[in-house]
Amino acid sequence: MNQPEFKNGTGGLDGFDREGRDVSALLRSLPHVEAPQNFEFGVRAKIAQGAPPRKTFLPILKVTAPLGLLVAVGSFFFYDTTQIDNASRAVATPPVTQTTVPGIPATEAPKVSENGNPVVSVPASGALVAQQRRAVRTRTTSSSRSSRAVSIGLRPEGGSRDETLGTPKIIQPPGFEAANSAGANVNANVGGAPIPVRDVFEILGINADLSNGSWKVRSVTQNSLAARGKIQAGDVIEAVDGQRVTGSSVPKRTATTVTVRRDGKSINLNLKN
Amino acid sequence: MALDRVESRQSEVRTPRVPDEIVSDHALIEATKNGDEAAFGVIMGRYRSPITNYLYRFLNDYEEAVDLAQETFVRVYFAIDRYHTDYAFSTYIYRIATNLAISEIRKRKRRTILSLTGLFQSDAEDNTEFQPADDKALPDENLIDDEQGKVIARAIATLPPKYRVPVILRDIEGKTYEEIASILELGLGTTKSRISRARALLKEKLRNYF
Repeated sequence: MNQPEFKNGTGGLDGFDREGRDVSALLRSLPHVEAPQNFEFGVRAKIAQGAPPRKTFLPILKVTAPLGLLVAVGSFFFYDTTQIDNASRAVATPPVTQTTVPGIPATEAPKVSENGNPVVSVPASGALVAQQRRAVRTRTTSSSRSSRAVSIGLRPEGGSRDETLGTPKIIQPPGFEAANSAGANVNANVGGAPIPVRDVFEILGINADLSNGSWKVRSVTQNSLAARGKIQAGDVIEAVDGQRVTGSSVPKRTATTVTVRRDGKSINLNLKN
Repeated sequence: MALDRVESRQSEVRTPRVPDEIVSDHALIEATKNGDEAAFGVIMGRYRSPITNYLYRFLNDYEEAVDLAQETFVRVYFAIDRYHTDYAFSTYIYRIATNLAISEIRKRKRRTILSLTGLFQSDAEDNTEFQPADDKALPDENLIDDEQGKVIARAIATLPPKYRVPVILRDIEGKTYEEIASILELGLGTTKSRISRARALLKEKLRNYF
């Protein structure tokens, strides 16, 4: 095929056009339309109305600006709430300390539950009496936005405690080991973090004050484990399950026996009478 | 009030005018920049019919074509200070008219409820869009009173804008390839390729007339 010759000119058919000349001819056969007589008048009228609006980014801004504002406000609240959650967690988590006593072998590293709260010793299933109803109020926090609200009766390690009258029952969380037949305390804090003494005393029904490093019993809640174990006001708590109690924490959360000093004598009291 | 301003301007026009066949487009533009409204009137007289015809062939709607042609001159008027004489005025005004026409096509597409794009594609590279031709009758039926003209006009209107514009500028307006390339800000090869493609498409649509 011959290479078409192109002309640089003022129109007219050239080699390129020859290939489409039939179509070109057909298009050229169309009559030319004229502008109406009042065309110039219409132009002048439009000029008198003013300049046409120029394209701006305003329509885009009308959409993006509110969206940007929403994102900014949402991010601020999310960040702010995250900071509050972190701060709350720091407050809610009691200081974990491990007490050591010369001669007493050190325990394993204390355990904490998943949400960072120390694991509290509780008696074996069914051992709680009706008066042990003061709720362990914890404000559980988590890093996620769906933090749990203030819960009443929740145990830090999971499960819940029935707050109704009567013998409270412990609802174990799924997968939680049940108590063995020998009655071993399934809540033994094996290798866990030291437990606040007051929490343990509260469960046992002991109201005691720390004085000169010793816990002196002020009163015993009626019908409590401590009452059943014959702990009396004035007793000085020396050990719980053989572990010395000094300071503000106990290494273990089991409490089947309590050693008290009464009238200058050490007495072992069994709480599971 | 607008009419008063228009009429007052028309009274100012009745001053001795330079014969417009002598004065070039650039000279008229310079005169308009200096406040000579009559010079702008001469510009309008020269280009109003070609621009109207061009837009009519593009849109296949006479009223819309007149409206957009007037809008073209309005934009030229308000942008007169930004016009540079580096390129021909005809290139400049046709470019404005083309942009307005393409914007109008896009508005029409948005108004179309049912998009027919793709239904009639036979070739993936074709990008031919089926655009329902405007069936509205012209105000003046004498302009196109033959059936052939109407069919041709509708066939042109169904071409995609990127093929429609160059073929109209070439085969109806008689522009050179260089002018068309300058108006559309395309390369020469692309311009010729699109014209060739447009002609092939029209030949297919109008095969009954060959």
